[in-house]
Amino acid sequence: MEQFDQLLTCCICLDRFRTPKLLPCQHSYCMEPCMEGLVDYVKRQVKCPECRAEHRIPYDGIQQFPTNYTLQKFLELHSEITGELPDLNADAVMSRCNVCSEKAYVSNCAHCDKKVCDECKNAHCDVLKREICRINNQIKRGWHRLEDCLEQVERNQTLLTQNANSVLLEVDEIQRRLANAIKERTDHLKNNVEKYLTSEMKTLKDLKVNLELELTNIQSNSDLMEKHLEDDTKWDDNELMDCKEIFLKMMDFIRNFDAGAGSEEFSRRIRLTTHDCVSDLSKKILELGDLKLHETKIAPPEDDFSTRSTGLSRSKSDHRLVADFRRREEAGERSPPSRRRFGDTRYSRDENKSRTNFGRYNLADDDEDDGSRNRNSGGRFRSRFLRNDDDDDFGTTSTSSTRRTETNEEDKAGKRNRVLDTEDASRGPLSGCIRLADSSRIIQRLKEMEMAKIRAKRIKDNPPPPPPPVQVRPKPPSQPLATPAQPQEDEIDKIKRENKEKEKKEAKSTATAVVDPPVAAPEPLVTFATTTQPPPIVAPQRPSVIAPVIPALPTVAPTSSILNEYTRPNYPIEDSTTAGRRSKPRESSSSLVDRYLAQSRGPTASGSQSPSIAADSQYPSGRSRYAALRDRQSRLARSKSSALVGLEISDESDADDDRDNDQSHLTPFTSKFGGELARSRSSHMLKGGSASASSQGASNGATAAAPPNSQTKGDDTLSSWAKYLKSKYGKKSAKASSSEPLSHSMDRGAAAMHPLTLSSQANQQRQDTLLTFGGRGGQTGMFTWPRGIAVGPGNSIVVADSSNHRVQVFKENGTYSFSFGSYGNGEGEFDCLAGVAVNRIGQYIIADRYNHRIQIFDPSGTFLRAFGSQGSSDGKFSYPWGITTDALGFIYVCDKENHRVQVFQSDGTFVGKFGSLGTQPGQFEHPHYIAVSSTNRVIVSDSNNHRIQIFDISGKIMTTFGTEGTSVGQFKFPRGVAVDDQGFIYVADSGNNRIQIFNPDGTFVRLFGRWGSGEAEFKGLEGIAVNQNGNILVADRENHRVQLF
Amino acid sequence: MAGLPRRIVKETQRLMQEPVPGISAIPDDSNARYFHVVVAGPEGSPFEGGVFKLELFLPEDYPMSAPKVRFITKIYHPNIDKLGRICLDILKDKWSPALQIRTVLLSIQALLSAPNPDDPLANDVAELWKVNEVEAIRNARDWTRTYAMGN
Repeated sequence: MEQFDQLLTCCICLDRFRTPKLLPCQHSYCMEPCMEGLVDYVKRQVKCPECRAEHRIPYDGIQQFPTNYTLQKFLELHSEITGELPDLNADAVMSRCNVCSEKAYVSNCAHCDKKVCDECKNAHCDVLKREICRINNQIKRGWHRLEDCLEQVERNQTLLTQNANSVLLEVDEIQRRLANAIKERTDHLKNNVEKYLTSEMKTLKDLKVNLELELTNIQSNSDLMEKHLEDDTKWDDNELMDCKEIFLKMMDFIRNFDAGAGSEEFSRRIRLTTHDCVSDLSKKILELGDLKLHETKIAPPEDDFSTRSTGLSRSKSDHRLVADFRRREEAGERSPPSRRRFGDTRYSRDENKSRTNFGRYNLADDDEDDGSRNRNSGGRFRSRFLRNDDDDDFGTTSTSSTRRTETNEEDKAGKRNRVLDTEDASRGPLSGCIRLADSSRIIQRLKEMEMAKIRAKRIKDNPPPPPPPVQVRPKPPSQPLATPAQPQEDEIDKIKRENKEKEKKEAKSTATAVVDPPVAAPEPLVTFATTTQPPPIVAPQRPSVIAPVIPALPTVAPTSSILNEYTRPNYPIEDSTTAGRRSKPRESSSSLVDRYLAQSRGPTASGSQSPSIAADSQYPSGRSRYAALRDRQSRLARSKSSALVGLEISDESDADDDRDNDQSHLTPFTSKFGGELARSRSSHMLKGGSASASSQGASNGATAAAPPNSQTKGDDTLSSWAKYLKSKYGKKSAKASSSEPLSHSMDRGAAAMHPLTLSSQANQQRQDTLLTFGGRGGQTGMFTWPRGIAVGPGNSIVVADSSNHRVQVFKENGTYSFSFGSYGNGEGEFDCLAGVAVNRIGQYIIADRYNHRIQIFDPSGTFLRAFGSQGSSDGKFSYPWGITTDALGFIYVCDKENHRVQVFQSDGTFVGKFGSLGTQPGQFEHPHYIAVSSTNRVIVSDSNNHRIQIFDISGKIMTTFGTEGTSVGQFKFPRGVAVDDQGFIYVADSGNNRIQIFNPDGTFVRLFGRWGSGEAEFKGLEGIAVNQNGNILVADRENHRVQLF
Repeated sequence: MAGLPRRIVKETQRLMQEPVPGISAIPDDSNARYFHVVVAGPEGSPFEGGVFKLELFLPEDYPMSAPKVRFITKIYHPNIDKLGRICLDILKDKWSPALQIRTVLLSIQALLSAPNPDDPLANDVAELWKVNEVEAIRNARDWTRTYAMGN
């Protein structure tokens, strides 16, 4: 047996063969994990591992190798013999699990109807099990209802039989009476007839006798006469005269005797007329006493039948409910229309409850599943009854309660394959819920379990034989299988727990330190937090959402961390490494921050550290705490997608914008508006739980409660939040997230510190807004997400009104001039245009972002030409963003997703390109905007690298400046760039919500602006332009306005 | 990390349950792909009686690529250099996914019994082995005694 097993094992994966493919050298291997690995794509051949023979791969790949059917048959046979479950993954190809995004053998998860790997499936199974338990408890609590119904039904039974009996008696009574009446009448008639008969018969008899006498007389007379008239008898003339008279008389008599009417009259001498009485009578008899059965009546109030049946109908109702429902719920049964009709109108007789229910649910046959699924199914069931056909089935009220057990099973099954639902599984006739104990599958499974238990026991009792018997194989391998995988995960969890402990400890120790800042800082918190982005807890590129916004942490962290925990377990390894680093003794917070920064930002780390260190000095421990948390979160929170999308308030689901926008979203909300907005913000976000957790945290900070309080509060939220998460997602994320609420309160404290410290550093000036116009909307003069901005002829202001898909042109003073463009992908139509530029001759050059093309319009807005399409080759774009032209008319386009700048002639001819993805000078990561100086220097905002790069027109890098950060000369996702004729460079530092101005050589001059909606406040900086008077035009995206300084 | 491939798990299991005689391979606690191997010097070879420690690492794409094996104990062998690297064809170009850890370790044990000085890694050792086999064997025994028996 062992050897059989051996023969059925693929020697590469050491597992049972999975779709074994036969090589020409007659060796077989599993197709998809094993053979694939053997393929040498370069030489397009496979080398057999066992004999080292090389074979060319057929055209269609390894699938074309013949399948070793013999082996497959053996496999089947083997599995039959050993009773092992066939390998469910035999035909599965590895793919990405929808839930944890890991490559694994996936199969359909009945719970969420997606392809998921086994772990997630198990997690889902656990969820399902818990739900089943929960519902089961409810069922337990609820089944007394059915018991009550059962009693009621029994009672009804007796009542009904009584009723029926009484009605029977009535009917008999009627019959008897009527029968008597008929009998009397007929007897009477008969008597009359007989009387008449006798009397007539008498007269007839008399007549008959007389007639006979006469006849004999006449006959004798005539005989006599004949005999004696001719012979010699001496007749006297008197005698002869008498004779003649007599004979004349006789003749008269004979002639005139009329005995009466002919015979035919006598046959109808006596007649019985019924006067239609009989037919009427019989009709009436037919209609005699109809039974009014309670629900078979169409129009209830019509009582033209014998009304004795009301008692009947009322008592019938309850019974009917049960019986009808039972019938109803049989799967697939539909009552014929006629019956349904009866049922429909019955409701008016019913108790109110059923009537209202009936009204609530349609006449139309809903799926029975709904009924069975419903918790308050009593009412529902009734309505079902209503719809049901008339029921003569008075009998079995039997098993509805016992069979109701598994509504959920049906429920869950829903549209899926109902695996437990087999033909022979007995169903609850009412609910249609099968009896689990009867389902063949369940029986099998339970049996298997028992067998396994027995086997396990047996094995435990006997010393286990060295090679475990084949049957037991399914069980033990799972553990060793699990354990190697487990250690890594446990490691990570361990490390996480460590960190959490550490932070908890630190938090406690610095409780007092943290008390003051929150108290002191509510005011400054409001004003200053917005000025400069809270500090250099720098966002690693992707989870930028977390980075700048300390106060926003509460809102962001739980969701993102959960999500990320859930979606990207890949990163735990990194986490463990960072955690390892962190576990070294922390000399100072700054070093931690350094490390953090170093991890996150590589080359640009150095520059940003000094200010952060300075900031740290005041409140080291709090910082470090925060930083540590940040670190972990950032490590964990890699996936920006759902976390960030959830965070986006605006409608534009710009994949690229998400990250950047969110920074600006989050900072302000939480710091400026404190808990309120954070709460509302978080309700946007994924879980309500996060809202509660974060609001707790946020409100703690906002009210500047003492951290001990907030910590305890945090703990509560921790537990509930963690519990919630745990139940939803399982251990891992719960752990991660459980740390988050704790961090909220700490973060608050930490947050408060920074603005104080940084404000002193910020070289900020207040700028006066000369002009502001716009607002959110689609009318003229209103914007929805204005992006690019440019200066047109006569200092006109040209705004790319991105989500209104149009360009609006305003005069120098802000009055509306004209606009053009609409949504679409045709000529003159835009789809989320981003950049706009005006060339020497007043033509408008638009970067039509989602259409991946550039369009050129004449000064009046008429479409001239368009070029470009989606792609990455020359002349193709992937989300072209910023655009500009130089004095010669060359068009420079920031090809954002291709991480490059392309250069075209004014007619659209491709000239050149430069840049590639990367962080080196000359490389970009998501370049956004571009400007060209009068000295032919091309200035590009290298957004994700947080720097500005300057090239010459041939694309050679000249200089770069800027690093990631919030202090002077640092950027966070710089966007718009503009250059004036003296060469000063204006940068829209969107992540820091400020404008920075630099000398032509890149040295800092000044900055202004902060987050907000007031004057000189921005939310989401986009394009920037400088007009000939030196005024700075800024597209303030989230405020949907343009400001001029 | 895609979780440990089943093959590795199975192999480890099998190694624990059915060890090859004279060879023990234990996975490391913190890294399931790293094995502490102990090979006993085969009988009839100059290494008999010695207990040699090796390390074996399964790279990411094992079994498509060969495991990396190295002697930790110093050994005097023409195909094993002073750093412990092993010159064995199946560990390099002749690797096949059909081979397993146990086969590799067995081959290494076999290599100990049958050194191949014509394909050397350690040149001087091989030279001596070819020129003066007796002395070479004596050296090997010495080294075995010194390094592979003490601790």
